[in-house]
Amino acid sequence: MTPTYDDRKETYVSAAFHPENVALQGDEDEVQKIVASGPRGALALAGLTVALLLALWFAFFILVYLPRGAIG
Amino acid sequence: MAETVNASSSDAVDFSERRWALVVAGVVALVFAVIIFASVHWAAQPPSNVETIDASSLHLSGEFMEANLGTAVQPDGSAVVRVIAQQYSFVPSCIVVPTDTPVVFRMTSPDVIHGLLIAGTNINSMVVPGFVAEVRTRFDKPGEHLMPCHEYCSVGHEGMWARVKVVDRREFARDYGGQQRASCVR
Repeated sequence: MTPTYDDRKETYVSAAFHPENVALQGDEDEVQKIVASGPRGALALAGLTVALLLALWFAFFILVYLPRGAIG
Repeated sequence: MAETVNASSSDAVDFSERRWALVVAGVVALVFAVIIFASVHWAAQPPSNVETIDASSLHLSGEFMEANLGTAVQPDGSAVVRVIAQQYSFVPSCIVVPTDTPVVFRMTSPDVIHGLLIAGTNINSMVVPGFVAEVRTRFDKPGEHLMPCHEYCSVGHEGMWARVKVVDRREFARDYGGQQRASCVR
């Protein structure tokens, strides 16, 4: 069956080349004001993941390892 | 203006990173503290007995002769369980131990590497020919545990398993007390 549409004729541009996606919006002062408040989002994400990891570790330790008894 | 804001944003990032480093150090310290406390409180440690034995003459003389296999109650009331792990069975294949009693498992192999694992407990050790694996534990409640070989030992590996029957210590004394080397093999 013969293709009815030749997509090689289209010109594709990566979204990373569109200024509205990657260029600085606003001026440098505005950006500095945002950064000055610290990486709160990163801390929240890292805090949540580490808290989950720690909770799972304690869950296994308390609910599985301890009830299985000591060995030596 | 831009320079002062730059300095404060840099300070904010430095502060966050230092604070996060402290949090991570605290988490690591907490986990280590819990492990150390449990190990010291329980005297728990990975089985690390290094004791050699002649694998070629196990059946002829010494501790692992057939008549010596099974559970032996010691004068101090503790129990020693001697087991041979071989392609493709454990001898004895049904092990009986009393509750609330210090139990020592001593196991060795005449052929290849096998595994000692008692399901539902923390007992987990390799059984290496030429060495005696030793694990100390204590069972709090009666029950039955599967004891599969968990080191691939060749084509019959999947059929190599035994049972560990934990019985109340009074029941053990009544039913098995008369046996020099107790087992629940019928």
